[in-house]
This record gives sequence, C-alpha cells and structure tokens, in this order.
Amino acid sequence: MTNRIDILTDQFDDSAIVSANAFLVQSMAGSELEFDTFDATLDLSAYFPVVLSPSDADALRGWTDETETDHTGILTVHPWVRLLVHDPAAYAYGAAVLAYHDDALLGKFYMQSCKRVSRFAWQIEAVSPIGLLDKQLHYGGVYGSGATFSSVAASIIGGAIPYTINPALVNQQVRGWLPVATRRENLHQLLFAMGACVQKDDNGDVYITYLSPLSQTPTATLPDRRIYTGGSVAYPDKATEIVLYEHAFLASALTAEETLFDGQMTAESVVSPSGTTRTGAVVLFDEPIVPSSLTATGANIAESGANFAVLTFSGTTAVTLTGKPYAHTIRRVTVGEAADEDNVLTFEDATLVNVLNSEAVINRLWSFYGNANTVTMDIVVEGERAGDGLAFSDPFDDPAEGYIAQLGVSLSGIAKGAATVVTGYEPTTGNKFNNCAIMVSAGTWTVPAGVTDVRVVLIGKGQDGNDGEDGEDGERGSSGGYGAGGAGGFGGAGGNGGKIRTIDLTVAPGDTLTVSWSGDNSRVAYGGITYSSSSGQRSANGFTDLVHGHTFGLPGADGVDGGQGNPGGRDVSFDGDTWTPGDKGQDGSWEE
Amino acid sequence: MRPTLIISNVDYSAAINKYSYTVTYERREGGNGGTAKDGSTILDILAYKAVIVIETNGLRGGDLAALVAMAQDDFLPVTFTDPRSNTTRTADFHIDVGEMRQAMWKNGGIVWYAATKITLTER
Repeated sequence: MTNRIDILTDQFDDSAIVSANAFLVQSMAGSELEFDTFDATLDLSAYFPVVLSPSDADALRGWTDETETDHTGILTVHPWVRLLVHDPAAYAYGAAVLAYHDDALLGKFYMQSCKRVSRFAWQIEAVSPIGLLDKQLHYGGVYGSGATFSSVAASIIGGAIPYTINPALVNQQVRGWLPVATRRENLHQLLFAMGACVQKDDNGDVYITYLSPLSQTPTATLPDRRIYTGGSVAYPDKATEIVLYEHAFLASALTAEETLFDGQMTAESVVSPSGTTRTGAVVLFDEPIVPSSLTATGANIAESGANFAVLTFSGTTAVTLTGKPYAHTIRRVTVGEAADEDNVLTFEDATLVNVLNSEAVINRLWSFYGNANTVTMDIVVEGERAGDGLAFSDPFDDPAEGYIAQLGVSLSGIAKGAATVVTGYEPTTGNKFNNCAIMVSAGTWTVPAGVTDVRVVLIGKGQDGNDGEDGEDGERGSSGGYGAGGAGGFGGAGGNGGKIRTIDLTVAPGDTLTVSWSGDNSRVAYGGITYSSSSGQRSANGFTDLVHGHTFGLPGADGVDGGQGNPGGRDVSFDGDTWTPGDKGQDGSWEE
Repeated sequence: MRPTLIISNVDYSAAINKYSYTVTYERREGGNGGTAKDGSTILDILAYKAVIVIETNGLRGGDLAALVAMAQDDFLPVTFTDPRSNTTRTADFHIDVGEMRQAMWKNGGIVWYAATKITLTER
C-alpha cells in the first residue's frame, strides 16, 4: 500500500484515494508562522453483493444447458451494488486526518472542510495543528523575571494542541509583552523572538525546536536521481539594513494612573480569559496595564491581566476603570548600512524582542534577508519534511546546502515534491545574553568559561535632587495658647538618572575587564580602550536588567512635602524614614 | 484445464474457447514520473493490472446481448485464472465486447453468433 489516509477510525487506501496533496512549510527567519495544508478527494463507497432470493437461483447456473432458449433476463442481473460506506457527516471541523506514504507519516492534519464533489467522492481540506491555533484567542501578558520559554508557550497554546519543546529551549528566559491576539499570532511572536520554529514529531504533533546551523549539523544528501530536471535559483533583493526594536516593560512608580474606561456598561454573559462564565464585561487594553494598579468603581474586578479586566456587575451601570500602564521603553538596533537604493527592513512590533535576545534576532534576520537565496526544484520525497537540511546539486549542478522552506507534495505511486530550498542562511537562536553580573564599585571582572560576547552597560551617577522649599512660619501665639505650626515646604524635584551607555565587546574566557569611576561616570577598560558612561544618554525609564528584574539609572523621585510644625503637626514618612514635627516655638515675653 | 472466468457471479468458463484465453499485464503510471537530473527515468508506478482477452464459443443472441449489456457498466467483479499468482483471483474489470457476427439460425428462430472477442481490463 503506497498511500493511506486515516480520518478518525476510517481508513482509505489507494483504491479509494482519487487525489491527495500536501503543502508543507517551514518559517525560516521566523517572520511568518504558516501552517501546513492537506487536501484529498476520496471515494467513500464500496461494492456489495446482492443476495438473490431462491427463486432467482437459476441466474447463477452454468452454461451446460444449451436447450435454454432465452438468457436475456437472467444474465443482465447485476448482483453488485455500490454504496456509501463512510459517513462524511462525521468528518467535523477539527477531526484528525493522518496521511501516510509508503507507511511513513507524511503529516497530521485537522479537518477544515468536507464537501461532496461527485456521487461517491468527497473532497476534504485540512490543516496542520498550528492552523487550529488561528481560531483561538490568547490574552497575552507581560512576562518578567521567572518567565521561561516553556511557561510562555504553555500560556499561549493553552492545551489547544499537543506539543513538545526541544529541551534546549525549555528554560530560556522570555521577557516582554504579548497583546491580545490569536494563539498562532502570539506563538509566532515567541518563536520570532527566540529563534525557534515548529516542526513535527514522529506522531505528527508539534515539536517546537530550532533550526540547527547547517555548518554545525550533518545534512542529508539528496542524490541527483531524486531531483527532477528543471528548477531555478532565485537571488532575491537583499536587505541593505535591518532595523529591530528592543522592548522593555517596567511597572514603574513614576507612571501616572490613566482612566481606562469611564461610561455606562450593560452587563452580558461573558466567558472570561480563565474560561469562567460571568455576568458583566471584559475590558481589553491596547497597551499593557499593571494588574495590581487596576481599580474600578461601579463594578468588581473578578479577573485581570496586563491586557484585560473582567468586570462583574448587573444591569446597566456607570463604570470607571483606572490603572497604571507599564513603562514601555524601546531601543533601536541595526545591522547593515542602507545605501542610496536601500532596502531597509524594520521590525518594530516584536514585543518579546529585548536586550537579551536582540543580537540573535537581528543576526538571524540579516542572515536570511541579507544573504539567503532560494532554489526551487521538484524532488522525489522519501521522508523529507519542511525544515530539513539538505545537501544537493542545484539545477545548474553547483553544490548547494540549505533548508526546505516549502514542499508541495503530490501523492501518487511516488511522492513528488515541489521544493523551495533556502540556501546561504545560518540561523541563530535563543538569547544572546543569559546572565548578568552587576558591579557597583571599582574592580575587575573576569570573563567566565564559554563566554565570547558581553554587553557592558555603563551607568553614571544620577543628578542630585533639588532642595525642598522652606516651610511657612507658625502662627503667632496669644494668651490663649500657642499659635498653630507653619505649613511644611514643598519637596524638591528629584534629580535626573545617570547617563547610560551600552557597549558590545567580543571577549575570550579569562580576559579581564577593569571597572572604575571617574567623577560621576563609570568606566570599563578592555583591550586598551576605556569606555565611559559620560557619552551615554539619560533615560526617563533607566535601564532594566531583565535577568534579575532590577532597574538602574532611573530619575530620582521628588521629595515629599514637609509636615506642619507643632502644635498640630503630623509625622512625615519617606523611603522608610519618619520625621516628626519640631517642638513648638519658644514662649514669647510680654510687657505692660 | 479450462480457465475460470466468472463475471458478476455468472460462470462463463464453459462459454469461452479455452485455447483463446490470454492474460497480459499493463503498467499503470501516475503523473509523478519524469526524468531525473542524472538522466535516469523516474517511474511513478501505481500498479500492474491484468488485461484478459478471450474468444467466446458460439453464443445465442440472448446470451451475447447480456454480455453487451454488462459491458455498459463501469466495472464488474471478475473471478479469473491469474497466471501471475497462479491462482484464481477476483478483481473489478471493465468489459469491452468486440465485433459480433451472426453465424447461423436454429430452429425456433434463435440467433447464434460466431466467436466474439471479449477484452476485460482490470480496474
């Protein structure tokens, strides 16, 4: 049996398969997350013998009786009838479809549609598991310290499909924000930021992994006898510059509270992001809000996240919802240099791209958009899948090596695949930086074993805060007693944060970086060059160490207003310290 | 030994000339064949199917009419002696009836036909 298609418990072999085609894809640089598709036309019928009654038994006799005068009525009996043996109504949306060629699984798909195309033939269309994620919503969130690839993937996929993750990715740190979007869109964001991709395991289920660089991994060789004549090599317009934005989301005390909703609401039955049915409304946010800062009047907050609040109330009521947005900082990183006739590609909405992974992301994008070519050719498919690395000779007999990006498979006695192979692409994956060492005083730092790249972030001393204003004089006393204490002065404005400068260094294990201070600036010396924070920039949001979740270089907070003097004064607390009002003034003298 | 030929459960074995029973096998190919880069042929073989050619003995008009009527069906189950497996095998066949020629008249007005070539092609 060459081909087989299983739908639920029904099996179709070559005698029932009229046609079958699969389109298998592998997103290369992670800029797309496509899904495989499968279509087939199947004969759902079979032939059955008709059981003749005893009175018709003469119809089955042989030809030895030559005295018979007329056989016409006997021999035209057609004792086989063709009947439907499968129920297409059972092939509902989401039903599993398994396609095999030569007993090897070509793919596991899920039913999208099923339509009748002739008396006994039905055409089915199915998609790979990722396609199912396109119909479901993920409520996103802000991912900070402790968020790993596996935890974020679990949040996104939410049990919608079975999957496993390459162990090398499981504990990679993920930082950033995901908006409310389809599960497929948010999985795409995660894969894009971490250089991961979706492949299939031996059961056809999703296996989240990464493309191993061809230079480091042995690749299968595709012999010429499995490559059809024809084909072409395309040299796409190369990107001249890649622009990528790093993102950081910080729950900052400096952020002002915002009104997120203010108006009349009518309660409805809603299904909350946790799957609970509630009476009220779900409010979605365009930008992430610190959940703990949410307050509502006129309704209760039953559930909340960075992108939503579930409000419970009854009837029609006035509701006000307020909260503090996360402080969102971005940093622009580039590779390449745009020429006059430039082809600049910008990636600014990938909100899981951050200081930890941006290097790997932009290098991957540059390798793909700046270097890759594509070879299209037809091949005899013998187990190849999209994403596989191949060594082969291209249509013009030049040796080539690349990844299968697309494979349009036509099933027949052999499986013929229209392959698009990306050559010249070296993918990078994961976080470029995984650890962070903090130096708060002069000294040296020795590059640990295995480390070849470091990013030094120099942060200078912040500016001093301004003096607070003097308090007012107390009221004059009288014979009736002391006058009231004077009002405290306004607190002084906080100083600006220190200057921040980022330097990427290529190092070797055992090398030493020397950290020092000069005035208000921090410095690092390496390779005979001394770098200083003096040429850095101040930032209203400082610099966040995403590994530990610390933020440095923030502007100072404004001082608190002074308290009223005694009598009648009150304590003033700030930053853990408490100041009490001064004693009442000295008794005045009085003369006749 | 007389070859077996049963069409739609009706045994025609005695109705055929046992010396005219021939079976050949034709290769069925799909659309994925072609030429490989190294110049070799890529064959997309779907199956090898039997083609049976027989000549009937003389048939009465009614019997021949029944055969012609069956030939109008797409496919019919045929049990036949299969030289490849050296067994009797059943499969669906399409039937083509060749030139029919009247041979003689018999008492009672029954029309007889001379040997007629029948080609059965496996589905």
